[in-house]
Amino acid sequence: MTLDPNYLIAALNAGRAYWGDYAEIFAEQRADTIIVLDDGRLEQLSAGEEAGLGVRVFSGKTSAYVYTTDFSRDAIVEALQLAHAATRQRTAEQAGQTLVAALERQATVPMLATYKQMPDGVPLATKVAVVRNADRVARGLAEIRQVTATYSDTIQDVTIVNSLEEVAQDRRVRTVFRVNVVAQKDDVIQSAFEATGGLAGFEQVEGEVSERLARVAAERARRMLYARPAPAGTMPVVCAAEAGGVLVHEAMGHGMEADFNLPGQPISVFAGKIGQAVASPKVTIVDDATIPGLYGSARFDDEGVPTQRRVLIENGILQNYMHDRTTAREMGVPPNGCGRRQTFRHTPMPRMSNTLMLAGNDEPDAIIRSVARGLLVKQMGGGQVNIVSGEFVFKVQEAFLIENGQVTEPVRGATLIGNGPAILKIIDMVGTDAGETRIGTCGKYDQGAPVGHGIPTLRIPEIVVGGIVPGMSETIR
Amino acid sequence: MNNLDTVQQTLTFARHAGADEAEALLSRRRVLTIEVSNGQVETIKQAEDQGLAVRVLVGKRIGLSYATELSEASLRRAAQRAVEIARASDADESVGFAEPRAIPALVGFDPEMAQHSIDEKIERAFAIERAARQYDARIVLTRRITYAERDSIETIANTRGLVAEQHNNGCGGGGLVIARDAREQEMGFGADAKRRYADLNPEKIGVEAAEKAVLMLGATNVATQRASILLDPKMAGAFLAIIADLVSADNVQKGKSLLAGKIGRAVAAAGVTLVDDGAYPDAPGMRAFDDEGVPSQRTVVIADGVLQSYLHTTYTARKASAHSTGNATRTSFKTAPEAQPSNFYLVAGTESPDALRAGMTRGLWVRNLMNLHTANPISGEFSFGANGLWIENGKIVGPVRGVTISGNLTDLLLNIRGIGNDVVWQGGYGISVGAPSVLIEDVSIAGR
Repeated sequence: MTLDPNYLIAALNAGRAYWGDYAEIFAEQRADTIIVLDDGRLEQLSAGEEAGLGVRVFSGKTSAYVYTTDFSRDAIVEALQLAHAATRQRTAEQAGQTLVAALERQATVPMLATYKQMPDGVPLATKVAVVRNADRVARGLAEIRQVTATYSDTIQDVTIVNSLEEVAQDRRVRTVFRVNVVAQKDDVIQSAFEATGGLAGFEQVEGEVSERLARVAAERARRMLYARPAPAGTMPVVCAAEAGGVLVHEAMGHGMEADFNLPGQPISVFAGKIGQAVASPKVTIVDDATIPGLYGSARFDDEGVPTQRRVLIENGILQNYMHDRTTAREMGVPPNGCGRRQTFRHTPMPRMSNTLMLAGNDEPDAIIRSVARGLLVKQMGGGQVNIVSGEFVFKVQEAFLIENGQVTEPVRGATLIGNGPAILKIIDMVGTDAGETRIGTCGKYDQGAPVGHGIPTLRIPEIVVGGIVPGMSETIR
Repeated sequence: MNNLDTVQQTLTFARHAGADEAEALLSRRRVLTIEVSNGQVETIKQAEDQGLAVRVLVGKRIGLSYATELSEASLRRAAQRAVEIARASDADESVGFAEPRAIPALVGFDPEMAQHSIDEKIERAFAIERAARQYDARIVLTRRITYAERDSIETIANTRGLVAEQHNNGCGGGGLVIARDAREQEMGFGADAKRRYADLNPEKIGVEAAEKAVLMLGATNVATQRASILLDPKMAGAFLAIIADLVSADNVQKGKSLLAGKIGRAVAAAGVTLVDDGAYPDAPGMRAFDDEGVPSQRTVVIADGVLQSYLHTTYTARKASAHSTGNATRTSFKTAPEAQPSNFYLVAGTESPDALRAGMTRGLWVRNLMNLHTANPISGEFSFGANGLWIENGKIVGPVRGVTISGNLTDLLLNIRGIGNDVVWQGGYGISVGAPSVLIEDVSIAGR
């Protein structure tokens, strides 16, 4: 069995001349199923298997990574040799040392999911029904022109062994359903998106889940058909708890990943600020990979470190960065389980898991009443952030005007643009309502990672809203 | 077992499993990535990777499976799984595999790549970093300065008699640098990709990154207004990637493009000519055939502002009673082919970028755009974050950041008023695009 830790330890031992300061094997086996229904037709139905391993060797600050789909012992030893040669240092052989399987240690790390229904035991036809039902429900509503529904499941098994005598085995089963709905009335076209996913089996989408989400998305898209273009300019913005924490993840979370905060290499604005006030005292943000069933959770990270709940900002004070083994070593702190990689083809780096802003003391209704003229963001869309300057841009999927403390009409096409660290400092109201955790795929240096994010209702007293500027052109719709 | 035997054996297994037709694509890749930072080698990544994709037809139903292990048992399992999947799929009259056709003789393999040592390649990464630091004393940090190479062999066969193999390689570099002054810090990114080892200029990549970072120091904001934008070639290329989605027949046929049903109509300003050409000599995406084995060809998409053609796969072509344009692209062996551009370029104009700038009354010379992936392909609505240099009466006033440019793609294409003579190709990993500077009038800019 290729993921057997004893086999991998024996292979690592066989190549012990090439360990350098640290050597590691990450072995992975995964099975994916993807079902895409688009334009009323099953567009893609695919399933397959992948297996491979990556070998990493450190010599001083240089690391080398070699990956292969060949699991033979000779191939593993050869990979270690190639990696060691690439680090260009001939560190002394660690005399006589061989690894003993430390299998008992990992038994103390709790399992995070029970997986009631393993997806590989669910008939293909049952999975297909998930997307078909969503399509039927959405198309049952007026003005709906297009539905794209995607079901996917992944069973990923990993074994990580290293020269520190650590062994970690983890099974991550993730099941996801996503739906995008397009509504049209005359010349106006609007789309809306909903998704659910978790560290869970088929139970994540069972029952009426896909129908319910398809209806929510369809109704939102229809509502936006009758919305006027959003106003442009600087104004107060209230983010509703259901808006999701993509703003926190993108505009603040990335800046607290340790590889942007290394000593002497301060890329992030948070560099060197542990213990300092970086946010309004109302703000507490955690990154927690240990919450059972959440999309970004895992028992171990992809370097074999048990995952944790990490307090990043507590009452406005910066507490911790998110570390992989490399950054932890450079900063002289214990790793805190944030080393993630997309597959065996990728090298690990510090990543978020489930990033959550915790609830505060303000009544959600009072937050809305406090705004004379501004925007209520009900659903965020996609976004992008510049880590160095802190600049961000986010699309808003669903927004309403707030006028004299009342939520009035829906508006479309709004964009939020600002500076993450500056926004953190001016957030002046935080709701008592910790919101639902939403899911996303975080991209960093071309690697995708499943993540969760969530916020309570919060108020940003002043932010630039990019909308359409009325002008002479008559072509604006 | 050699590559051809592997794909042929997979076809046999597929037939045994009950497939009426089958196609197998074997992709083998070798990659080398060197990352340096602040004068030190950080990571060297070397790998050999492989994946086999098998598609089958059972009647008019199609199924796709794949495997990374190439043992007989694994190939047989993949073929059987593909047949099972096909049986659960919807019947579709248009599904099918490519007919065998003559493949153009293109040389996509540069033997020089293998003749240089790893030390020389590490030196190329350091050269990027040195050039950035020497450009300006305010460059204080570098991050993930990368030199990378790839070498790929694709072997494809199907039961209609198609058999083809191609061997391509290429190299590229990139990096992030950080400029700092007393008040703030900014980042700049440089990148380039070439087919030939000798054609890559590491110094140029470093200078590009450094120039972008230093340029934005001290940036301010502008008032909300309507004005012109001048896209530099890389940003114009980023816009082309959005247009590429609009002319993909997959999107057009599903009603997910504002260019659906507009063949023969003026969709862009006069003078705008867009071409896709998989055989374009030495362009980053050059290939002899696409991911279904269809030979590369030159397709004029927009001629002088008028929409001429969409980009097709075998499936979309059959559906539209057209011919495949050789644009079937798989993002990996795990996914089905989709109509994507090969080398997609805007034909150069005659004006220099300086002449275009000199003609601007008021507007933004765009150096960076954020959130490009959020443009709505159906309605055409977009709102991007932007930074760059503010121009008044043809003169540079200073750097500007934190603004959004918003509007509709339809208007944007029709409002193109100038096309530069400075085409820059970019790509190598995903999409390959070539574009010069582009001047667009009457764009909504939201600032303070």
